[in-house]
Amino acid sequence: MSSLQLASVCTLREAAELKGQLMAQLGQPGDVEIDAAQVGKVDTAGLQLLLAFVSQLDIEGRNLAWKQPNPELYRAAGQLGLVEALKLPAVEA
Amino acid sequence: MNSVVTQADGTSATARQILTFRLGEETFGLDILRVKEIRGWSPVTRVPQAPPQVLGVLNLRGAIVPIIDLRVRFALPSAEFTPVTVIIVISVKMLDGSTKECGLVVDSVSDVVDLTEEMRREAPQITGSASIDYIESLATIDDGMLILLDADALVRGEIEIATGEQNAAA
Amino acid sequence: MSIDLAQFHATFFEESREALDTMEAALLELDESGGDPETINTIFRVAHSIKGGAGMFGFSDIASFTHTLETLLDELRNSRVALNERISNALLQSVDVLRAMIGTVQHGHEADPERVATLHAELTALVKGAGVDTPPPPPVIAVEASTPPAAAPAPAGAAAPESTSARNQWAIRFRARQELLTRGNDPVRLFSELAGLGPLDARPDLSTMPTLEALDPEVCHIAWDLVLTSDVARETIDLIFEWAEGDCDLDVKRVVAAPAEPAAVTEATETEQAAAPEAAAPVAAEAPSAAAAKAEAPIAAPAVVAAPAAASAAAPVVKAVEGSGKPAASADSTSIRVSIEKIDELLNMVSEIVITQSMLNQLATRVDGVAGDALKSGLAQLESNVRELQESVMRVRMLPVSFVFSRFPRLVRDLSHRLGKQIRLKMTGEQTELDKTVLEKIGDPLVHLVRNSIDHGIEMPDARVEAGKPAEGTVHLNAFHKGGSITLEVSDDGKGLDKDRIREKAISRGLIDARDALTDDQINELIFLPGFSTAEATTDLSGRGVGMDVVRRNIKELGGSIELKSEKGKGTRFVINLPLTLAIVDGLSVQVGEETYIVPLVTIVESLQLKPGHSNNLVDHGEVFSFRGDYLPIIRLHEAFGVEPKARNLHEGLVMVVEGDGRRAGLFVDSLLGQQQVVIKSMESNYGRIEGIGGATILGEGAVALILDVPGLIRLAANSQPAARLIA
Repeated sequence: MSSLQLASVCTLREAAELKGQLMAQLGQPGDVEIDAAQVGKVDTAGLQLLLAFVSQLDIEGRNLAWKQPNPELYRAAGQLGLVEALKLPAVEA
Repeated sequence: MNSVVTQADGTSATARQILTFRLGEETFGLDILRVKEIRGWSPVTRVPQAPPQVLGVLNLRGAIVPIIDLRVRFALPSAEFTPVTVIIVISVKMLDGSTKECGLVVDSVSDVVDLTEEMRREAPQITGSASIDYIESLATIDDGMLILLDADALVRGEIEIATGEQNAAA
Repeated sequence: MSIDLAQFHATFFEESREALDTMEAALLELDESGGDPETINTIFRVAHSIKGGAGMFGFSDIASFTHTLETLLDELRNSRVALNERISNALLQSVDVLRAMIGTVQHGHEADPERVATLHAELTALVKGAGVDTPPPPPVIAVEASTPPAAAPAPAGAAAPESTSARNQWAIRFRARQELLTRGNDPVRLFSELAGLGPLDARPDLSTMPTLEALDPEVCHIAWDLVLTSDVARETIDLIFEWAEGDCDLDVKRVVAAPAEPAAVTEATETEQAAAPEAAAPVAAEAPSAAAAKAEAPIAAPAVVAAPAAASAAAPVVKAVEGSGKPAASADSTSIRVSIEKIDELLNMVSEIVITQSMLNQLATRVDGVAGDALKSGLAQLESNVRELQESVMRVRMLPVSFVFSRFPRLVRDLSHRLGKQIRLKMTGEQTELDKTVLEKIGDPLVHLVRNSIDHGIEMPDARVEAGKPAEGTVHLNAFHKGGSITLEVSDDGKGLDKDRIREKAISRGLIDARDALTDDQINELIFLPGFSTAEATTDLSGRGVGMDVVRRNIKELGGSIELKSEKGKGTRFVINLPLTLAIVDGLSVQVGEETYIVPLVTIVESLQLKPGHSNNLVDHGEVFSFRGDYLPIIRLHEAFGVEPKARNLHEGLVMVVEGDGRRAGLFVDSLLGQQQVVIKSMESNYGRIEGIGGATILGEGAVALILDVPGLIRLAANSQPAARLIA
């Protein structure tokens, strides 16, 4: 399993960098774990890249696990209605 | 985000546009971006306790605007107000960040010139002379010297001194 | 990007302040009603929306604080915690702390971190006391995932509590264009803004998403179908997308609300039943009935038909909110937010029309014959239309006095608790309207008067009983219109002013002479003199060095007056008279030499022509004349303003007896021109303050005339004639 650590800020400004980071994960064997514990700020550009990444993993038939997705990620994803599509684990109320 | 505005004649406007006007023998200039309006002379309403250069106030589109006689301001001999006497309405940035409007009475408005950096000369430091902080720089144009005025420095003091004294007395 | 964020910040600050006002009023109501569920719901919603906004802008301290507050409110709402005094105090203090915290992020003022921490701990303790731990913030979003995609949209979990009062839905199709993201318009933020208006369901359309490799990270490839359950007007939604205009395709439609309700109610009911079945009953019972009424509306019916049904179903909720005097809470659908500058611009334009109009009137007098008559009658029509227009625009600036009164329940509650007094606050005439500018400036003087009544007026309960009065004292705030002005009264049934003590104090301070014989009214007047305070020990309430003189000065600056009636043992009453607006004044135009000045009518006592020899030139006292048994100083306006007059001898001109700051003087002018209503223009916006001049106005022919500041003029004259005795 490969692990991917997201930076604390995943916004438009860092989008190109993030895309490179995600691209590097493609075409490799094994499941992926995304460590989102550090994410303090994320916007549509960041979420969109993560979404494309998640879909690509699907196509490649690889599993995805989120490690400590933090509230900020949930909030932004929730706002865009992308919690499900991003396969973020549901949090029990 | 600095954009270079291309003029109708195709030249690139790195130059500033300056409104020039005459006062006695001298030609003065003000940045055109500060000029709100140019209008003919009309009688003003005198204001009590005003310094001599403040002639009074005028109604400009519903706002009460002070009118300053630049001849008095520059200690030039006073002249008759004639049909060509003009009021240049400018906007001034005050120290507290607010913007005020003010009218300047001048003999006549001459032209709008493009002023490039090459034409500019620094204002000479005249020691011992009265404050000339309102002169931004000098420039050479076709027929002589242009005195470029700093609108803020020119008027700010007038208004603040005029009203500051009263505040102190109040 | 920095620009529009700042814009949103400002909105957040403003809305949060309003929300806190609403919350405070609701909390006070809660005290009286003993925990009405709908009121708790209102408070919860307010806290929730502040939390949302704070989270959105990254004000994490505020978000975290409101989160705990919200948890406690949720416990209250579900009756897992019973309302008690400790809780209601903590909740009220939370309002203060939140105000301070918002001030901190807005202005960089330092909120007391210790107080925040202490209160935060208190709130947490109160929640814990209920046997419930604060759940972590994320769950609110989790519900989102379980939203059934095909069914009519259920509101996002975070906003579920609001669904019981939601009535309308907006379907919004949002598709980004190329530049949306790079221009700083982040859908996350836009949607958060929308969610602030009501429950928002966002369903992404991923059909145009490219693969990761092909994806341009700076372009938004996702489109959304949004459903917003809210009663806001279309304009409010458009406002949110204002900055994104041109960078996205937007399609906003109103839809029927009915299908959303059952889902939401079920959810709410479930939660509440799980928690405390019995206590939750009132809320649960009300909610289904509202939903049922809405469900009756045909689902496919056009919005126009469904809307009234939905509105009527929700009516009780609206009423509850309005009844407690919180206009902002329910007025969204019928009001828009307009900046005061825009209104003033409008007012300015109207004033210009008035001037043009009177210029035309003058021209028309020169036209004779049939055409002239037609012109004049047309102009008369125009004049009355313009006047109506002017009044309408003025009314836009008017707000009910409740805007200011609303802060007093809290003030009275806090102060009486602290002082151990029992005080009932009575407020009447809250709907009386007043110019916004006047309203904003009258707040502080009123606070001072009310504090004064509580601190010095109302006695301790035992003292009251001893005096044969009920233990509970009453402070009464009253507002009503009187002619062209408004009267505000602050009265109490306390001990009244102690005239002997005032007299002694005034003598000891050298304000009066021990031999002076003063009437009761004159003694009362003394407390308005600078440096006078009757409090023996300065408490932290009234005795902050701000005296009644400041109150009077503030009111004078608004063109108003304050009087005082007091009876020992019965109470004190302050009566404030204020002009309805600062924008217009009734005045007499007078001539001095070639110049025209306007004298505000309210300052004029009488105009008279002196006969030769009726004035005296007293040594050291300047020029005086006798008026109703008093000697009044004469102010020659031409001297004060340096004008060449037509009349120099007093009997050739006119003397106007004017009054300002309780002092009278005779104002000498050449002649009277006439009475007129004038629009006041500020001299200060482009020039500055001039002693003796209150402002300027524009006369019919377009010329400027200066308006006199009579109190200032009297002061000015007194300073130049130091020995003159000006107290009439």
